[in-house]
Amino acid sequence: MMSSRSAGNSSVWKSVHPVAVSSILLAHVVTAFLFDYHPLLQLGQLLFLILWALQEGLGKTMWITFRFGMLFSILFMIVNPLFASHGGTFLWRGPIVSILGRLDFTLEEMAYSFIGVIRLHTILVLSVMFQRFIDHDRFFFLFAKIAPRFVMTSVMAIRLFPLLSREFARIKEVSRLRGIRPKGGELIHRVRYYSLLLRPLLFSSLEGAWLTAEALYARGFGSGKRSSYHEVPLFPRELMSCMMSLVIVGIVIWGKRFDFASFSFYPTFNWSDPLGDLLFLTGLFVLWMLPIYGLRERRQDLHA
Amino acid sequence: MLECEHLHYQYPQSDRLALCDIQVEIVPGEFVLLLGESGSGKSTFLRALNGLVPRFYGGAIAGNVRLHGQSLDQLTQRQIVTSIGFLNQDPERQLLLDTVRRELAFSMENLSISPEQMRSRFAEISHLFGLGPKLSSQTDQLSGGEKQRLALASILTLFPSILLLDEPTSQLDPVHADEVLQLLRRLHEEMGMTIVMSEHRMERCYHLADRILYFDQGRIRFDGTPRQFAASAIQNKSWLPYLPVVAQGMAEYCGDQDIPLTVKEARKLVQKQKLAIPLSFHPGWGNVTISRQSRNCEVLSLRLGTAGYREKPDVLRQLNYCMYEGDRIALFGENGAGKSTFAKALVGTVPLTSGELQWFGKPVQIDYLENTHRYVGYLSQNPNDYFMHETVEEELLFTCTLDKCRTKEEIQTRVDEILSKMELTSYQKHHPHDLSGGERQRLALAILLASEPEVLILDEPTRGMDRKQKVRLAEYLRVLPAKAVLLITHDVEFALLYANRISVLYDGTIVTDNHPQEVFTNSLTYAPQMYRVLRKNASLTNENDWEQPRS
Repeated sequence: MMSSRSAGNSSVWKSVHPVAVSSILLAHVVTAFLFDYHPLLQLGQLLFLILWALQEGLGKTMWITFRFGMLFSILFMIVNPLFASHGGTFLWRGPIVSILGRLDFTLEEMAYSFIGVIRLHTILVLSVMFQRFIDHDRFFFLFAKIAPRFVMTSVMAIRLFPLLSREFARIKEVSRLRGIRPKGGELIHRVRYYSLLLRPLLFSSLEGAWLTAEALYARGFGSGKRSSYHEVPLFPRELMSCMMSLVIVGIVIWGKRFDFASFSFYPTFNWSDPLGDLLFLTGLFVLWMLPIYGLRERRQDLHA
Repeated sequence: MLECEHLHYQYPQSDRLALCDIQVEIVPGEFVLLLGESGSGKSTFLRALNGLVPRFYGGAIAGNVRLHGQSLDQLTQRQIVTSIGFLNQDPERQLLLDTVRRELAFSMENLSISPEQMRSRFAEISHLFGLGPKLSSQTDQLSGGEKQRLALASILTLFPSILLLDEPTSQLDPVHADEVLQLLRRLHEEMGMTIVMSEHRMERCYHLADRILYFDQGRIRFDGTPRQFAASAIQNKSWLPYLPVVAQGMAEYCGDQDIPLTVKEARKLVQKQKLAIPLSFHPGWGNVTISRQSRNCEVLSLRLGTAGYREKPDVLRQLNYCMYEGDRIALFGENGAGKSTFAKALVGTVPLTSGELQWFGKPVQIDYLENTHRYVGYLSQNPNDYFMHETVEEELLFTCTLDKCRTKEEIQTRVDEILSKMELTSYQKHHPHDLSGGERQRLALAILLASEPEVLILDEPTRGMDRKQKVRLAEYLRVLPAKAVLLITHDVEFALLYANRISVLYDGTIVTDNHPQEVFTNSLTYAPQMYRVLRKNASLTNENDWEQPRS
């Protein structure tokens, strides 16, 4: 797929026009939703994105993000099947509760929830890529003329995350040295512990936000019409990638119309055309690679 | 140029005036230094001059501020920003964008300056500040001094005629602070820029000023030249802390001469008048009481310690260091020398890759690393990190109940005792964030003391404090019931007030470790101002090289 192994080279992607990179990522987001809850296509897309992320040296960041997603995934995997009343293959039948109905687990509900978790992880990988591949200032300043306040708020919100993460690490270290730690491994103790740590973090962010807002005002932000120092031209290869992303979305919509990517979970699993879907996925793999390949070549031109 | 007419201002939800009957005119090309205690109205005054007060903060205002004869009320934000640049104290929070290049263009873009004009100004300011090699750098990779210089550069791209600066160096180490102040000096002297600045580093900026405004409880109590202020401070002793240390030290030896405001002036005066200034006059001198021979009780030691961070070269290398009972150590060192890593290695948050940490001569046990707070109290640079509750009292109650088995009465007694010792009793029901900077620092110290540690490690506790607050902090630290204290600082004058041992860390090892008198006498960099005055010349190294009393 991408021949050059380049660990930690995500910052190189920042030299590519943000519209080109974000169009690829957006095409993946749209595709993930168009696939609905199709197991093969959802798993295939996640596999493709994981391979791409690994190739770009995002492995560590991606696993950290997955760990955060895991808690939500477990909750979803329990709550959704428990309260849903679909599916015919019962794994466990519980009591009937007023309003909620019967509490139960069926194989179909579990599988449906699992694919939901897969889609969640697809979105997580894409968000990691958006965070690492896009030059955010450049991206948001594309909209500076239309919505300057929105743009600045977004830029600052993005800058805030690494800042808060550094502050949180410092506060955690200080609290450890004060002897503050969770009283046990249970969730309730951990929640109490982190809620304690969040207070200094909250105050620190509020005070900092005030200073930032003051600096913005004193530097004339929001005082009227803005001009732009940075011209951001779109190169032919980048334009091609944008077009390719549109084509991919178009093909997926076309495929859906011709009954590709069709799978139903309830009442029991029904997969009308496994082979056709496999071929469709193979085709998509090739299409997904094309814009990435094109931009990779552009990156090489830039860094030659 | 800038004129205040009977200016009064009150913050929303405040019951007192932050500015009271301010009447002052600032003329073009002046360098005005604002002095006064924290909360005396300096920052509010600066914000009133550029309309941040009341436009941004709200509140009630009376009187008028005029810029070039026009009332600020009648000017738009854009008109004000074009003429007046404003820089606050926190470099971290003032930079808004990812790269130096974008940050530099940001102010110009906001004022809709044409791309051609922007390019020209960009090149000029980039050249003036020497930012060329850094233009593509990420702003979060810059040092504190670089960040503050960048924030200043970005403001100057608007070519303002007036610069308002609110403690622009309070978060910086002396080297970076000097860089910023030298730049301001250049802007003022060579380019005739009008500067209004509040600042606590008197020794570095007092002599740069043309005019002093001294604030007290929202009023201007003094308006005159630096020399006139120095002369007035002799009469009014409460103003003395706002003079440079050298002026304070020389005040009583000047007679009818002008008080020297710099080391150079003081040296001239000493030589010319053949003044007899005994070294023991200095307030810190009496503190040097622990002799090396009396250091026989090791408390905390690092033996051949090597430490660092993952995938980076070692920060500390084979370092031997011992803290003895009674030590009040000031640890100096340039940025990146490893001071904070050293402190963290002593408390176990940065693990040693080789070597050994010893507590009273024996290798530390697992309990030391798990319950460090019972052995060592560590005060980080930001006291706010310690505040997790709604009141001062709750903070201490929480800490006292953490791991000691005490009855409720015992805990309350202990809390009352600490509050009283740190003079916080009257604030016990206050929210920690409602306290002043000095009070917050004391509360953070009180929180550490609640765990009854035997050693204290304090990381830059005087950052952002004025001289009065520093003197008070030194007094509190002196009576703390700790066996040994290690203070990481850049503040030589504070070390003189407090320390009885000076260590210098350089490139991961201790290169100087001695009695303050010897270090201050022999050092060029780590010498308090009065030591510099009394030194015959910089190359002399022994006690006989000092000016001896001649009368």
